[in-house]
Amino acid sequence: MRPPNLALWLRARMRPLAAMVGVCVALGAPLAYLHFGLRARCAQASAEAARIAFRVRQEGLSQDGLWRYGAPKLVEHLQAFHLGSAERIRIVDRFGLVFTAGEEPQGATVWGRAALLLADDSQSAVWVGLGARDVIVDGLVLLLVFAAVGAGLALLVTRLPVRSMERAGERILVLMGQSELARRAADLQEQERRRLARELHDGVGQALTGLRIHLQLAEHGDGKVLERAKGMVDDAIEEVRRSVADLGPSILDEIGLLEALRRYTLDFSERTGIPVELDLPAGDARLPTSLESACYRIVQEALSNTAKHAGASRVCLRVQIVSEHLRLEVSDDGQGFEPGAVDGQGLCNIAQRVSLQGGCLEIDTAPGRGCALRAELPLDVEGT
Amino acid sequence: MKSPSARWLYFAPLAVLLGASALCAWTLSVFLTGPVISQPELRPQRRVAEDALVLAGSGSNLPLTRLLAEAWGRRVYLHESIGSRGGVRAVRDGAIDLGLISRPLREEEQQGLVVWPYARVAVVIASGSSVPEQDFDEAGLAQLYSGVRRTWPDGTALRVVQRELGDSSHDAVERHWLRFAEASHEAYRRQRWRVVYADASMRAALLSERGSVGLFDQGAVRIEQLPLRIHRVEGVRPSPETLESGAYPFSKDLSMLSVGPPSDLARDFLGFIYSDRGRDLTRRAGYLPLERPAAERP
Repeated sequence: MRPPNLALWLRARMRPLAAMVGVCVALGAPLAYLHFGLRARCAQASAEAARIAFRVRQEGLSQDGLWRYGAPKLVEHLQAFHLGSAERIRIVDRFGLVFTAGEEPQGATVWGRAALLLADDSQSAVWVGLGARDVIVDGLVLLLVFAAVGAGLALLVTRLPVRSMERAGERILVLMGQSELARRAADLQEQERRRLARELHDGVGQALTGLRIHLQLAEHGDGKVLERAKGMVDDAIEEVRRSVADLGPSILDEIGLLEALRRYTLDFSERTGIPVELDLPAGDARLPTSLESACYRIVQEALSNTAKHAGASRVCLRVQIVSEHLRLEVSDDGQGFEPGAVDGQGLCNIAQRVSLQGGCLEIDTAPGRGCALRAELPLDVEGT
Repeated sequence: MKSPSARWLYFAPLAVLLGASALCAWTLSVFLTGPVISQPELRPQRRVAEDALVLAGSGSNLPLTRLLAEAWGRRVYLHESIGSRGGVRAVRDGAIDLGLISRPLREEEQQGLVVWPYARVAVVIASGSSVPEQDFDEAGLAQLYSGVRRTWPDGTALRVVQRELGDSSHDAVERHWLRFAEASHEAYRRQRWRVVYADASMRAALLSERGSVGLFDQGAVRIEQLPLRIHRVEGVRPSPETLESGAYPFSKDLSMLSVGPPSDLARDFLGFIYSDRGRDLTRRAGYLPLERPAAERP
């Protein structure tokens, strides 16, 4: 059973969250800067307006109603010599605009207001305008910077958990694969047991039953029967020997993989009449037990397939130990087959054994061109 | 198909974006809103009785005008200084009967106004009475304003008091002495000296600050009997006579303004000013009386 795609599920839910994080980060600081920057500039403008209003009121009280005509001179003087930052000053009263001083600021202007508390007019006010272009430009620069930061954070918020989830998914798949392999190994063992039971029943069991019948007949004095019984005992011994050879591990423990392969191929040739050409490494280097057992089984299965299906006139067995791997090749000059068209139990068993060892299998065949089966198995079986 | 619990997630960024946009719009609308200028439905009105003559304008005109008004004997309401520009605007608005100016009208101000020049006053280099009398030439005065000279001969620290840019007294000197004009404008730019914007402030500074020096009106010094030292200019002492002869170079003309023909009351006051008595008063106050404009002569 394939596990649900958790990464895809998580990505679908993380995207809006990441977008929200990105938007918040991108807009939060620039907006706060813009708000408080403009607010500070507004407070500054209001403070300057209050200073101007105070001076205008002071002078206006002595001008007895003509303050609106005297104020421009005072304000221009204040602007020139005392209020360097007031870019634009406007004085308004109930009759409209009294006076405007200063050049029009470039771009946006923040305005501050202060009431001009003169006796004749409660609607009079001083407005001071300060340029806000620098605040807005700085806000836009911050927006660019924080947009990049927000995008990066959004990417991180999405990628990190999704990648973790992907890795967890991969791990789950590996664990499920290992579980599947274990199940297949158990199946393989079960198959081996059943085959062995079948062979003991069909071979040794039948021979012993026949032997018992012949021994009963021999009690009545039939000399020929004894001769046949002796032949049946010999057959049973041979059957037992072959079964033991099929089981393999005991012979591997005693003489190692390479010598076991030599004996098995010799026996194979005697039984089937198909000569086996051997290309084995020199010496008697010992390999891990499970690896030797797997190689032996793979060769057994491959040669059995060749004998049953290939119609080959000769077989070649090559074993090489290269670097950290053992390369095993069984090739024949038989009829071959269409790759993928054959899904027999033998090939399946071979593939499972190779997989259990953490190796890889290659089958090179085509109709009429023989078959070459190549397996590469790691020497460090425990590491796999 | 997304689960219902996860759907709100897709609206959250949109909500945040909308909220941020609203905050931004609110911020800009609050702080960038300037004054709303109403269309005037009313005009400033005279607030003095109809039988009084109301005058306002340049502070340079006030001492002589006050003297003449008192001698005229009728009700005159003389406002404190609102500057020549204020005088022009006020008379144009009808807030006063006659405006007072101490400089020529600018081109944009001339429309519809009648100028009545009535006195010429010497612009003098004045200082506190503790300062010994000096004789200034162009270089000497430029040294004062440029800060090269920092003390008086008796060792007192020298403090220049300047008027704002465009002041009529400064203009009167700058027309003749270009080096002084350069030094004065550089002092403005560097804000080297204290700058005052009214005659009253200049008067107070010269009287109260030891070692101070600035440009002032001789007539005001004489009428108000101010204890100020008036310095010579290239050996010439300022007076109506040296002013009339042209020996003393720095002067400014004091004028009154009316919108078109003046009212009867104003015409009567102007008649007094241009009368022999008025001219005599003017001369005795330290001013040089000027003739009635040719177009307005009877």
